[in-house]
Amino acid sequence: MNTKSNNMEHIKQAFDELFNNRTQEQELESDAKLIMFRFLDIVERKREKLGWSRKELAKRVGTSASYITQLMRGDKLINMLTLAKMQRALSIKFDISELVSYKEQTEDKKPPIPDGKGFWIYKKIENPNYNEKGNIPKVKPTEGEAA
Amino acid sequence: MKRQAKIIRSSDDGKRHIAIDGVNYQKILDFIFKDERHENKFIDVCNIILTGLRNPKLYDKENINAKCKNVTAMKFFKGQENARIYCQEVKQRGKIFVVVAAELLERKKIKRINRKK
Repeated sequence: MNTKSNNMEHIKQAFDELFNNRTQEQELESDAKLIMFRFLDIVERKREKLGWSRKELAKRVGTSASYITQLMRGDKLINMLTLAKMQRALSIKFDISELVSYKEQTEDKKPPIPDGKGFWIYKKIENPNYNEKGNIPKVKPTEGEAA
Repeated sequence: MKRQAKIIRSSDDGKRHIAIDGVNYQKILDFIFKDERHENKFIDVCNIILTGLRNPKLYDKENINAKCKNVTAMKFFKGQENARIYCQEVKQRGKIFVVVAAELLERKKIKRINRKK
């Protein structure tokens, strides 16, 4: 039993080391590939929708099928000119937006608190005015607190 | 038979996870940690899975026959060693998505001859 749980911990520890002990250069390379994979995800979906083979796409983009395969595998990084050619060949427009992390999306939000009549959601106020009087809701005490 | 697996990586929103099978973990670990080339490829595949991107050259469904349901493969160095880690996609509580890396195949060879005699 103990050996089994030790083994499971060993797995987690080994992968934590793999993901967390990377050099900045390695992390940047992974980030660059992930940006490329985001573009290629759109390219791949559109190519399938059009019923084109990778060879057909390569022909229309003016490159080779093996180059597109190398990009898909992450063996090479795409250049902007190829990306523009793909955009034109597939008649699409890439839309760029900032991805807001899950932490950023949720850090200001507090869990709703029930008072018996409904739910109160509290919002963080950066510069509160303490002189302003407001209606402060009464939270219904739970059984443990009431005792 | 139920098998245990250990979650080793999760997406930022906690909706996607990658786990390693508790039975075959040593083989899989030895393969991934063989060298930097293998480690980097594994990280690329994990990033693809955790962000939900489509990339059949690195990770795709394996429709071998009707018996294998939700079986996928992490593809390492296609065109060279063509190693694969076969995975099972599991959905928990409707939305939580876990990919369990379960079986290692160090060299995948084509069994059928496609050319006509």
